[in-house]
Amino acid sequence: MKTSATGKTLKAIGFLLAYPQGYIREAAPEINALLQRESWLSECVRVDIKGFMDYLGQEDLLDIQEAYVELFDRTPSLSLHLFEHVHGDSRDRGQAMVELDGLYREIGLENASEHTPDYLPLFLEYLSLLPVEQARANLDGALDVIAVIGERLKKRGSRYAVLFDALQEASSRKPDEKKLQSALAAHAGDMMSQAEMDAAWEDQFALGEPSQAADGGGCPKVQDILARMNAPLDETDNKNGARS
Amino acid sequence: MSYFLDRLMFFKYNREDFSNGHGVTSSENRKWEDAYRGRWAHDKIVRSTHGVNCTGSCSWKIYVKNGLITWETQQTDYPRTRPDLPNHEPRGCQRGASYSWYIYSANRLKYPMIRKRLLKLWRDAKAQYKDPVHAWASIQADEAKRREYQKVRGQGGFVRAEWEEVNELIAAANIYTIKKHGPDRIIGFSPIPAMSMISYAAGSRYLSLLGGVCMSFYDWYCDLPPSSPQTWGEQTDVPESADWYNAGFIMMWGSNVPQTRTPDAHFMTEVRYKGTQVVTVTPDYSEASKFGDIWLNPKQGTDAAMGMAMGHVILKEFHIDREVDYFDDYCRTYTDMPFLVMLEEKDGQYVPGRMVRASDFTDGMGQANNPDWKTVAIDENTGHVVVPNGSIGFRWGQEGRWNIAPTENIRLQKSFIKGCDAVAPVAFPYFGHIEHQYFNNSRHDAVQIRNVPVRKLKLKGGEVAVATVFDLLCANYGIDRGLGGGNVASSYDDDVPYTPAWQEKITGVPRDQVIRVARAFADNAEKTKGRSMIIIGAAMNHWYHMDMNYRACINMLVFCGCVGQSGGGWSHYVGQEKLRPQTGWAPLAFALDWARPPRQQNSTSFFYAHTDQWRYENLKPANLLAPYADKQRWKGNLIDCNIRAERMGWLPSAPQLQRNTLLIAGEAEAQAKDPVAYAVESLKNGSLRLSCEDPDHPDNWPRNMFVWRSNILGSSGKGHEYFLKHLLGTQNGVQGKDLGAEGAKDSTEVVWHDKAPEGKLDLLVTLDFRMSTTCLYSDVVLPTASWYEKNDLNTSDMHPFIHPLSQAIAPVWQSRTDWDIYKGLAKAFSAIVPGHLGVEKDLVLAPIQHDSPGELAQPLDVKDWKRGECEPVPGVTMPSMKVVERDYPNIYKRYTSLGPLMEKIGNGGKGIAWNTQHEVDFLKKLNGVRDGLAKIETDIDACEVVLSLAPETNGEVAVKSWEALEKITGREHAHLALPKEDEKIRFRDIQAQPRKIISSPTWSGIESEHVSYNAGYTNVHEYIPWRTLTGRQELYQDHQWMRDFGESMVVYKPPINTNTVMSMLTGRDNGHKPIALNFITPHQKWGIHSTYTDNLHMLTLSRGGPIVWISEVDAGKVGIKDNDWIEVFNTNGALVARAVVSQRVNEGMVLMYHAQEKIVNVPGSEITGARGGIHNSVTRATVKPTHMIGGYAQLAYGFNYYGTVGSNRDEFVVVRKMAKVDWMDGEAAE
Repeated sequence: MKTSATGKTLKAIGFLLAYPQGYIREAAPEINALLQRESWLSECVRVDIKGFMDYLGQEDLLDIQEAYVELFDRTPSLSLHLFEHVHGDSRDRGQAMVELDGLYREIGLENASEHTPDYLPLFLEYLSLLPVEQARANLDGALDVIAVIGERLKKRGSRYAVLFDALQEASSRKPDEKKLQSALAAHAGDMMSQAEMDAAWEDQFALGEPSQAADGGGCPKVQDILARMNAPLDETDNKNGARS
Repeated sequence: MSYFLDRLMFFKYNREDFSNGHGVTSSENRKWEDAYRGRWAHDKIVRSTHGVNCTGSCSWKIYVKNGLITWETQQTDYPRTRPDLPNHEPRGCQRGASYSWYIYSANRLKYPMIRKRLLKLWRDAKAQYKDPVHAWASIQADEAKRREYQKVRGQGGFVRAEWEEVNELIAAANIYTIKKHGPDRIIGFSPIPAMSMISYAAGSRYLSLLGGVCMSFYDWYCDLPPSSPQTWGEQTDVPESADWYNAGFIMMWGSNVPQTRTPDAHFMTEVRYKGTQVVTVTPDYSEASKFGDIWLNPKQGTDAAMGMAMGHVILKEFHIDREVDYFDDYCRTYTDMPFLVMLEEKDGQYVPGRMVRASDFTDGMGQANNPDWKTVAIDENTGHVVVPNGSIGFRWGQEGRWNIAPTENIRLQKSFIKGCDAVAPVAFPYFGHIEHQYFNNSRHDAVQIRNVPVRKLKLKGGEVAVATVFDLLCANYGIDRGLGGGNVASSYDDDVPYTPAWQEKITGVPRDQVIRVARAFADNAEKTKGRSMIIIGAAMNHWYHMDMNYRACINMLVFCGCVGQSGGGWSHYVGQEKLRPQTGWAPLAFALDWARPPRQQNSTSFFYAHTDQWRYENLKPANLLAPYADKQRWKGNLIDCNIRAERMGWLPSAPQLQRNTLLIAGEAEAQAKDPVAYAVESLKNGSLRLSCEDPDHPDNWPRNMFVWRSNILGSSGKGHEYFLKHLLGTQNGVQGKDLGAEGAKDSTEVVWHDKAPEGKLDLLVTLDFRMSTTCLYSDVVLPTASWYEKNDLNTSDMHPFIHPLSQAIAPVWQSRTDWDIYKGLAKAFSAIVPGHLGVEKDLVLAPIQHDSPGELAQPLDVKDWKRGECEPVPGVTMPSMKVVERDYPNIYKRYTSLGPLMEKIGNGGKGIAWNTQHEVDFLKKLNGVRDGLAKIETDIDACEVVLSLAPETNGEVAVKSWEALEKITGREHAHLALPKEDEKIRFRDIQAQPRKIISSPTWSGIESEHVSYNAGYTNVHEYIPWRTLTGRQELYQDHQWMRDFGESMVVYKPPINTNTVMSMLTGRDNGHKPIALNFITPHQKWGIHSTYTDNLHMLTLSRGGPIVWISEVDAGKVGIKDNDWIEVFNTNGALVARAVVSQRVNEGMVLMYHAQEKIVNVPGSEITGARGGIHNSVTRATVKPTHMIGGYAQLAYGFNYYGTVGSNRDEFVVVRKMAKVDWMDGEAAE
């Protein structure tokens, strides 16, 4: 990263992640110039982003919007709301958002938009207002979720994956491979085989396999729930997927 | 060693331990604790509830921090009950507790959405035409454009839209439709107003101002028990759950109380500790079964047989062999049992006919007013015929005698068994002999001749044999009264309908259990004066012959004097939830403050016709008749019966005329004729036709449809695949062929088109807060505020409190409240309508209304003007007609202010009217004034309108309404409300605490500190008549159509054969064995209908997707193992699900919980090649002629009160294991 970098690069990525509209297309030259100037991202990723903006600029806007809705509005596993991937339908989500909102307030920001605090583009704008090192560190905190969404988009062959690659590059660490894999195992983003689907749906014995129950096998349901808390990334998919 | 120097002398450490070293104080930074302290801190707590279609109406505390909802807990501040009665709280269940997720869920609808193809067409059209109405017209004029977006309905393809843009599009579509086709082509479906009545009213007010049509739900859901209006003239009125605690004997009959009435179930479990016996009746081992001291499990669909056998025991032991005084008095006073029925002679036998009327006597029994509608009985003391007060003829046209108080010195004779003129052989219909492949029949004759004691009366037409209803009932139940003749039983072991032995073969329930339960039921009622109760579930009502199931139970209650008594009676808690402040709400909801009458349509008949389910109908009216009925009268198909009912003014009709209803008045004026007279004349000479006669003609299609607060396509839409095919014109799974040439040949009224229309609707708009199945099929989806984001009112039949929904946070993202959404539409409409529509004259047709003088239409027999049997007279032999003024440019102004008719005409309901000037004046002060009218700008303004106008929430109005009733009954009733005259409940009051409502004559029970609410209480204790022909509980239905179909008295009728499986059992081999099973769809544990079923908590507790329960035996027969993917299909369509192989389920039936949607984990179907359907993919509605009767006292039409119902449990399906599970994640095919 060169010293000329500010957080603006992150803001630009967030800008591109928002619902595609005419003004977003128009901003392409400005964004290109900014990315070039800051050079936070590698040449390679910058080229990819340029390609993405070309796509935004060339395709029929309604088609792009339809694709966007299908991805981000209709597919929970690709939600741009970070806590969908962490807390899902849990009631912890409200409190988590309150806390995140607290971070924004700490530096004097007030969320004036219709979005919840965990909306990724909004989060990126917040990062863009922090000193670069601080921004990177905070971005790291959301990196695992970002990586998972990015991987899923890649599996779908979506052009939006580029922006998630960019965010990974902008951070200072690599995503936790274990978490990533477990999240992808739960929902890779592509079709599951029948056997995998069967496995995911298999009903469990309430008190452990009868054969193991004798040695105090315990209640696997509870263990499942604990395990889910330890690896929170995989919980929102599969069973909560909108499939139509 | 000394410790002396170690001890401080002058100082102490600020670190010190306490509690023997278990605690220690310290001064280190404790900022980290803030996270924990803050975790449960909040800025405010707001009271709200879940406006979902359940009867909970549970109070919840919503915690808000920084404008975000953080969690919710149950409220526990309900007003206390009285001593010795448990309290109502805490209320709530696992489903409601999982609600928070909806607010921020990924499935939450955040923006207005529109089908991309439509938006593209729209923008192109807008570029071409400046006027949005012309733009919409250009799309509709081009069939290719129209089909382009119709055929991809349900297959994704949405984009976000701006509110302004979609509002303009919807308004343009509405204006175009009104102009081109007529306002009655705009329809709206929204159910259960009680769950969020302002949100309901928002849409219905908008539609009503346009002249659009509001669709019913209660009958369509098949939750409306037609037996209730038939018996009581009452839609449904029930005891509150607290009254269970007053019962001495409870039968839970087809009602799964712990599972589906969770917050109220405690009253049932608690009363068992007082010694109350509980009997559970369910075919499967349900969650309710374990609460029964006895569990009876009749084969599904045969409950009427068991109920009749119990009635047989009760009549025999408590009315005949030994006459219980209490039962006898009750039946004489409160039932039609003493009233006289004519016996018609046919081939040497007698057939029970209609009830004798005052007008049958040469002197009219001295009754100048409505003698045709006054029923008669014989005074036991004198032997003279008398005309008891209270029959429906006394209700209208005179004052002071419409009551059922016993008259001094007159004792109505219940039976002629002592001192009859003759014993006559009377023919009773029997249907239990009908063969059905999967249900047992008995081999008794279709006509059962039984002896009945009769009297001979001299009437106008000569001497006529008459019998009392009681004597007919005893014969109907097959009880031997020593009159000789056959087909009666002297022993319970006789194989004669309807003995306990007879039912054993049909239901499978041992006779001794039936006898034991019947005795215990009646014995308790005798000892407690009516404290035996039947909690009855929709499971019983969803069969085609539901009335028989229900009337068998109702008769048991009536025989034992339980109806109207504390702790007793009929408890049907399904699907209407009791809109308590009904008369305050109706003016707001149907814009009665601006124009009357509104257009209201019974949905079952509408969807039967317009989703073309009728084209596949193979059940013929002629095959349903009583053996002695005139078959000539019943040629044609079921839809033909419906059409007859519509043109006779019995059932509503929408769309109404095969011409724009805005044109009629103009045409009449051009010919200097009265518009109504002109319409009647044109209908008579055939130059004008009713739309119902040709539902497939494009002139008669519904064009725009609004759905809000409903998931009709994912939940309640029987015949789902027919909806998709014909109404929406998209991919569907219909497997069967329509009637084809046969349809043309057999129809007597309907016009048959060889090619059925596909895609009748131009526009489908749905409001929701989640992407439901219905949203997926819509053209425009509008994001609505959820239950913590709006202000609204909520009531339930389970408890007497009125509860708010409160705006804890502003609607999230771009969602808006229903009130604001329709307000926005009204604004957009008014903005673009000038130049297209102005002040117009709209000819509105309305059916003959129950609780209006019109309900006295055709008293003695049925005459059809179209067949030349009588003259067409609006409101008597045909629908009533009225010209209503529509002010289209001022729709928005009308929407947002309380119109002048409240002052001009007043308010009222259920046949009672009062002046409401005082309340209107109050609202002007409270809400503010614009153009001299009270404003209704906000949802809270709207709540205040309801609360101010309703007797239930305004004591002053309650007193007025009771006083208005006093004039009609001639008795004093105001004492029921006087103590609360000054109580006026306002919206902020119920936010502070749920409030108990005030007694009002709208309902048949009272709110009191001394008795729990119980239906029929004021009929019994205040002698206010039931709103029926005799004014009493009507066990004998004397209408011609009832007699023709053999339902004048309760009988057992086996399930119908829907003919949907035989052709599907072969020819579609997938390598697995198929089995045909009965398909039933009870309410579930992991959702309220489809709501909650798609959240992760509920998915985790269930199996996470669609499931079907099957018995071990049936599963074994076809090699299905637990958790296998199975397909369930018939000619209606197909669905896929996981099998739950369980001992719970009885052989011969599968059970799929209602309502599991298509949006979660549904793979493709091998049968249809499309994504597997929902539970309603294998159903099709089949209408019943007796539900079409109208213009006749209690059988006159009322919205959500009477009409055809969408039964579905007679359905059979083929079940088999799937060979290939395809998730169909590829591109959707067109």
